[in-house]
Amino acid sequence: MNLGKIFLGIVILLLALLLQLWIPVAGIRGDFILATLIAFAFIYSFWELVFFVILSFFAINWQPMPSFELVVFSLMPFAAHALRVWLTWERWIGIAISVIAGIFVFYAIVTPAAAVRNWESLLVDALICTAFAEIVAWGAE
Amino acid sequence: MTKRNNYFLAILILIAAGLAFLAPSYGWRLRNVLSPLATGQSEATNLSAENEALKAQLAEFETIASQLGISTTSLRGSNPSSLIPAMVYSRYPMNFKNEMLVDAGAGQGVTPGKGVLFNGLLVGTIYEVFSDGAVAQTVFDPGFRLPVRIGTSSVDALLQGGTEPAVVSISKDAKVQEGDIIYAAAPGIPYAIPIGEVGEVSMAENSLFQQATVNFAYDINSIRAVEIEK
Repeated sequence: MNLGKIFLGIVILLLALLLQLWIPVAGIRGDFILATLIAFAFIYSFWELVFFVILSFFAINWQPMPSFELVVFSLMPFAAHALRVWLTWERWIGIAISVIAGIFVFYAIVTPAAAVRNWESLLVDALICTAFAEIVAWGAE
Repeated sequence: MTKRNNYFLAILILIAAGLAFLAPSYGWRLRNVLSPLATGQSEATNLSAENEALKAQLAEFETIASQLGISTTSLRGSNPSSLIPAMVYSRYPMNFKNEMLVDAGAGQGVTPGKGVLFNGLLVGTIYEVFSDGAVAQTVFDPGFRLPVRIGTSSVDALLQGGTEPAVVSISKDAKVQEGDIIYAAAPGIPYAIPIGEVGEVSMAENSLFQQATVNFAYDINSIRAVEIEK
């Protein structure tokens, strides 16, 4: 474990939270934190990822008990972490595929009807979050 | 990774887990501090909302006065009903504009179908109530429908929700113009609660009715506190 890298990860997560709160993407809140965690899945070890996922859970949870949405949200980075062994040829491609798939799969599970109705917003969201995740991955390296 | 580093990471994970599961309110506070509207809505938004509320009140008074044949000056004061204040949760990831979760529920007297107000403007209606929370369907939900009236001549219309809400089924002979106030005229919701202003007016495809876009005095994503009709 590299302390500096952990600290950098915390700063990046804070930045992602600020973007999520301040910058609406196509009329919805962007998924900057989810994109960041998926990018982290390609950079950090499993237990470091556990720390960042729990920290994100703390930062965005809105109710006393874990909701179904946040449980699914928390599982997405681990899915990306498990799949990264198949996405090793070019890391930036692996991150792009994981972020886009992650956002669509996530909304398809937690709110399928709204996801279909708002697919254009989700597409813009996924593209912007992919760009952000690539910057995060480049910066965290 | 050394053993010492492993211990340190384990401690970090335990601290994060403790915060997330034992003290989630700190996360809520953190978001509140970082949130763009921690300082409240802008003055311009408040003034626009006040302006729309006054327009709706004027429209209501003029309608009553014309129907009863009395002067508007003899009608004074509004008829404010009891309102339940409630905070709006940042319900990430359910962040589509069509619903909002509030922290007042059955325990506070919230019931389904009641209007949800922001600065006196109707932003939606309650459709699901829990013991300490409720979900409101906003005017941005594609399934939202509400009978409304427009302007001082009280033209009947139907508010149709969606990403870009519209007022439809306006009689083609009715005089409706940009800036006219749109207000609620539905059973279960106090009469003449303002919703927005008429934007661009056009003829419907079937040419039997007029329709219009709606201009709102607020950004639904920025709303942090609302009031719910009792």
